[in-house]
Amino acid sequence: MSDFFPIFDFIDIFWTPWSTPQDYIWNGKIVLMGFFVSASCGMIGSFIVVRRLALMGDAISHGILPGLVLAFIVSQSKALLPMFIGACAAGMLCNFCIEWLNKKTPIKLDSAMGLTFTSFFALGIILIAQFANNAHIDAECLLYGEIGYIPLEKHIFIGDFHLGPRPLVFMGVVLISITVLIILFYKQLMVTSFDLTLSVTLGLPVKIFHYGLMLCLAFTIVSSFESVGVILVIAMIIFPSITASFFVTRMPNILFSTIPLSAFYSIGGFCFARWFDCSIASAMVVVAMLCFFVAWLVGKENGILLNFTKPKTFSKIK
Amino acid sequence: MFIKIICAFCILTFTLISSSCGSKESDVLNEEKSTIVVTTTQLKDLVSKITKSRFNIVSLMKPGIDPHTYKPTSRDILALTKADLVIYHGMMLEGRLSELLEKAEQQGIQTYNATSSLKSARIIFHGDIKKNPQPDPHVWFDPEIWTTVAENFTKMICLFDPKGKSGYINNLLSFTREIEEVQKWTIKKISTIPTNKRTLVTSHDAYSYFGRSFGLEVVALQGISTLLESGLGDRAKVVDLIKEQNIPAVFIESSVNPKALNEIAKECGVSVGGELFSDALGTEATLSVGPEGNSYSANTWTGMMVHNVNTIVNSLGK
Repeated sequence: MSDFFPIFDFIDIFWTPWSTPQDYIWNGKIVLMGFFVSASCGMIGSFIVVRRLALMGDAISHGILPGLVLAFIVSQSKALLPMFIGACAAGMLCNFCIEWLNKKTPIKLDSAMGLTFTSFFALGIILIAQFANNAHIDAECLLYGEIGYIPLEKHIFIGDFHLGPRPLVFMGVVLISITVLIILFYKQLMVTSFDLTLSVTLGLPVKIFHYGLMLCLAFTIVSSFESVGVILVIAMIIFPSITASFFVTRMPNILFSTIPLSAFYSIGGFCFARWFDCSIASAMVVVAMLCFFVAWLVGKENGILLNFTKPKTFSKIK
Repeated sequence: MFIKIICAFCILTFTLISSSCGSKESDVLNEEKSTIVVTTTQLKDLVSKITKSRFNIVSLMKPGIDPHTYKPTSRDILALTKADLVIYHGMMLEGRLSELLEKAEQQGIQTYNATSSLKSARIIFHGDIKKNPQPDPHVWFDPEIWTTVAENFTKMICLFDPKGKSGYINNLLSFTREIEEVQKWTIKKISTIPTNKRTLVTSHDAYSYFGRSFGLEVVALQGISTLLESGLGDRAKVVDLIKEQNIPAVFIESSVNPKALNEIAKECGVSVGGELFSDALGTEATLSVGPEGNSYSANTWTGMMVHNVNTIVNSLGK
């Protein structure tokens, strides 16, 4: 056991990374990036999860590979814009395919997802082998970005004002836009997510909202995958809303809960990584898992400790 | 929910409290010396041979770690911020880390690319030579290039720390003498292998420089980076070649998964000649007998060369 758990040195874990202003700025960027990614994924994820599309994050993040490779082949560079457009386009195409398979064939949604994204990913791998063999685009760099390198990324300046590393600034903008979009279209999103019949009766453009949400999801995934890795993104789409649903059941509360939860994942993950001396992104997911476990035990809605006398009918997110 | 908010705040306040009440440096680094962070084990050996004990030298990668797929841990990232000078190998050996360190001056980190001033005439290029040439980063296998790298590094370190200049130049002389000695010894050893058996079959293409310097033909299952999996075609080619040329042994590498090559060895009925060091040096405990009957431990460049040459000669020279 003592081999598995390193010594818990309080000062070393909680104080050393923050001991000088330089460390503070450096590590602050990492923690902030973790927070931005989990908060934006968490908020979008709350709607994705109630639509029973939790693995859509997984599907899109793998489905964008052929888009990336094609963008590279066409533009012959790894510049940000073509990569971004290629990835988003492939993500949306992946989405259309899933939707089409689900609606027009007897295939069920989960199988349609699994079928589509694996085919897209495999197609991407073949495209790399065929056209971009030495381009340093590979499944590896797509799936395992490294959040620890954030402070080393290129910094953005507005005039003389030092804004911060590019991915961090970008993710901040994504978080703000997602928040604004959710506030603007809150009612429509709620109705289309929970009561399809009602939204059709009300004459809401259900499809447009579905694809709009998916576009937002693709956008969030693409802007975070390169710098933090896909595993963190997929986890953060699912974990915050699921964990929060053990304590609160109404959608607004769940959306608000993603903020403190994300902050905790990010700070907790950083400390955990320091303790175990491991990769920071995986530590954040482990912390999210531990939070989920605690919530499942003591949550007042469906937690097993407080409700073990009750009959097993789960109250769902309302 | 609220428990977690409280937890998050507890951690925040703890960090704030601890930052206000006095500091205790728990890292076991000697504060008076400057710290040099190096990326690979080869560079660690080179830097410590030349600077002896004038600096604290921290190596990000440990023995047996593959630099192409290296992932930093939390402490590695902290080491980067604490460094007075970061020395990296460049030529994309460290993957994304190389790319980021190239631009790290902007973040106030002083970096030095160990291979930047090498003449391209000496470097082996792979891939599409005209359109997109990929330099082979495994330059430490060419004793002459490695001597140049050591000389260039000494020039730089003399400017960085002028006080130690005379020491550095002396150390450089003894290091280059050591390299020369090993080079002569290697040429003598390799000449004992029958000329028709001088073919080195390895997991990934790390030995082009070694082959060029000592007259061996080099065949590898994977390309210069370990990131891309070998295709079935590559595999078939290697198998055919082993059978055709009647090659007696293949060699696995300490930092690459040996599975594929083990299978090939079984299929062709040849023996696995042993484990070579390619992208990472070994540990202190691995000893090999080299020039003049001295034994060298594999955590140094000389020890690595001696170990590799002994392993190759023992299997191919039968």
